[in-house]
Amino acid sequence: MAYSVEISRANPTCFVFLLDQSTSMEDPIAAGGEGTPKRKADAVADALNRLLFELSLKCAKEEGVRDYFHVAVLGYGARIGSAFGGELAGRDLVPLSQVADNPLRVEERAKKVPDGAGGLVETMARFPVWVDPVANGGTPMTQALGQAAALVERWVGERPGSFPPIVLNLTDGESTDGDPSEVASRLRSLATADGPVLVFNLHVSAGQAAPIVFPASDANLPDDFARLLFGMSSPLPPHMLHYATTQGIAVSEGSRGFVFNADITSVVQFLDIGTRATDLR
Amino acid sequence: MHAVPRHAVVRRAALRRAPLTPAGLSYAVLSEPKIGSSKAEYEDAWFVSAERTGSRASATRGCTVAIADGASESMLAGAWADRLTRAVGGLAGRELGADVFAERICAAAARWPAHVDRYLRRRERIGRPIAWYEESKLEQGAYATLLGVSFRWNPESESQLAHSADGGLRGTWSAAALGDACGFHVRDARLAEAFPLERSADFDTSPPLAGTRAPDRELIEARTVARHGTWLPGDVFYLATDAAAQWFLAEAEDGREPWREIDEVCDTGTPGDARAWLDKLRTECVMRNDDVTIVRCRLDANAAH
Repeated sequence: MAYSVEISRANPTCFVFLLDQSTSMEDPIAAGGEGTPKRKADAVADALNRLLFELSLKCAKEEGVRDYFHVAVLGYGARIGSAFGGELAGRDLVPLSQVADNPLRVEERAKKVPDGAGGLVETMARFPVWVDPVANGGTPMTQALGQAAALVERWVGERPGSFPPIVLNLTDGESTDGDPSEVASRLRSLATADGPVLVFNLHVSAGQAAPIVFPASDANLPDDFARLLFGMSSPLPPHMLHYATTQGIAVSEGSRGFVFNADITSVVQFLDIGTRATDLR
Repeated sequence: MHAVPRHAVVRRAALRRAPLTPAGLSYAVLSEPKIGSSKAEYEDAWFVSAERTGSRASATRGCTVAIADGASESMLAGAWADRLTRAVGGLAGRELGADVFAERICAAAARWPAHVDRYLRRRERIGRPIAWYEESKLEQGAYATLLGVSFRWNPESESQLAHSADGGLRGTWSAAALGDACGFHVRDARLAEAFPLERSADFDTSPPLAGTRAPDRELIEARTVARHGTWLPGDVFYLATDAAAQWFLAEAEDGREPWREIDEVCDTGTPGDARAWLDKLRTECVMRNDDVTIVRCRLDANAAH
């Protein structure tokens, strides 16, 4: 059965994040609530930092973060290349423990936590930042996907028995170097013995449409960019569908790894590295 | 007379055989970390305690065995599993129901913050203060599955001690489980009962778990699976954490007798043999690669005397 190989330190898999840093990311996303609308660049940088936060947390144990994943973050805009800074600057696939230990900075942020009496209380928590928002240049998505394909091709060649790599593209979908569908299709055709590479997309948009999470068809998508990214996205494997269902996420057979103006952090929880730590329900 | 528990505890032993009492239940333990993990990373736990009312071993009246499996995705999961098995395994033969089980879990959870404080102080002391990810992870709490089985014999009241059809003596057992660590009752070379899961297809990566974070006693009681019954001399109970339990059920579903393999390793094998046996099953993908703990409890013919 595909997507059933154990993800372990001896047999890790890789995560390639693609981060749209083009000028169009300066635009605001659809206002979802109170306050000033967020810029798309802020939304994707924040989403990426949260994904890396959750991934690190998932693999954290007493001795440190376990290297179940190797991670690359490729930014694309005025240039294409590693979006890591600081100690990780210029590197592509980095063992997760090094990612966790080397954020650009760790900020103190207020967060609300349960007070034990049914209410919430504000407390300060450390929040690491790996990438800052950037909005500059064109949107060479096709080239960026090509670079991701090169990384993934190298990975599956070196680790043919691993859980298939995951490529997650965070973008507004407005590619300026041609139709990225073909290279996305090539990416999805790469495979390990455990199944084809998974390509997921987070679409941030200025459109006023309601958030959409893991749709099974493009019928209700608001524009061509959303339909393009939906078409590039892999169907969620059965075990991910099952887990999403248990978490109350509305998915159905054929749901794809595509999210429109919504939180995509849940994909981290879709990955099995052992018994999940969840409260009784 | 107040019972004085006798604790027989050896952790991280690949194979441990120990008669708990000269006349009574004897147990053997197979425990092994998953392939690729060190012994220090083993996050299962087990604990056995017996009640004694006097100095004579034959006065033993009850015994409780507990196993737990710390959830891989939580921090300090092994320590939490250890505390849970002590909390429930320490019942020393007291009848196990969902109420007692939940009470013990909540009591262990109430003591947990002190353990975390000690851990944090130790990390400071050794010059390794916790990193941002550990701070966040510790806030999420620790989690584990838990199974306890209590055995009673030689009761004071005749009503609790019945005679089986063949005139032999028998005793009672009671069990409580949260999650997918399983108990198997084997009688006359037949699987008489499996609990809390009964089919190998029932396992997944999201079992109900005992957590350290503000546990809800009523909810724990509601999610706990409790069983009770009687045992006869010669009966054997196997307690196993999830990977071994799933293997056990799959083998039984295919008409095989997995307890024979366990018995062979327990009775004739060395710790190295036990490890080799488990590694073979895991590398052949017959058993999922996970920490393994199996406690075999054999109720001997003279147990009730």
